[in-house]
Amino acid sequence: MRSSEELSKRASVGAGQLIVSPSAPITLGRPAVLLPAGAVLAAIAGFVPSFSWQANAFLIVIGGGLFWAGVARAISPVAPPVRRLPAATAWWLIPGLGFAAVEAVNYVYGTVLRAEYAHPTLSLMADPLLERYLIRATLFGAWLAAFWGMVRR
Amino acid sequence: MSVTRIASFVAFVVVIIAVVVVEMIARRERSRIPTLGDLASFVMGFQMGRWPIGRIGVLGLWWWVGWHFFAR
Repeated sequence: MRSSEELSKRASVGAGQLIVSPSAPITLGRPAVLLPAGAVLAAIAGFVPSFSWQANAFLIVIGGGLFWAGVARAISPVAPPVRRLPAATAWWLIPGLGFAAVEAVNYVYGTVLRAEYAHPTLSLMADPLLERYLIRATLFGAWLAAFWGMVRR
Repeated sequence: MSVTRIASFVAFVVVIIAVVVVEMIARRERSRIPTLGDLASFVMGFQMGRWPIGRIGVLGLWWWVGWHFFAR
């Protein structure tokens, strides 16, 4: 039976830590744990080719697990949530609408109308790059880092 | 390589540079522009009853982006 002192120590969960069990939180969120784990996952992802059942299974398992952890708030936040956005948020419309416009034009002309000249969408442009191990592994690591950056907010 | 392919590539690079520039300006001291993290935090704060629809939407989009580029 755990002592009350031990329980009170484990009860003080720091920010950005993964809570496995409310009664005995385990600190898995330290960089010493997360960075190697992310590197291993990225290294594995580099070997798994796109358009394969292995890639689909890998993304369903890893992505699904992280999605659940994020939605279930299993990771404690490091910053208070943002309740209001200032008017200056409108600056993000420049890259946002720009991306939407380029992607929409390429999708309509390239995929729907199948125009004479190539109009590749971003994913079609990325496919040849993602066949290279180092690029694939690096971008997968960046995808994991994006999750961590969002879920701690 | 066709002109349209080159134009598409240049357009995407310009968009990526725009994202980086706005994010860098947002991270400056006393900047009024929210960072991408602030935007995500705001959207993830939306709740409908006990359902965290904001978190489901943002993290679902993240998951879909990963599946779309790495699997499909």
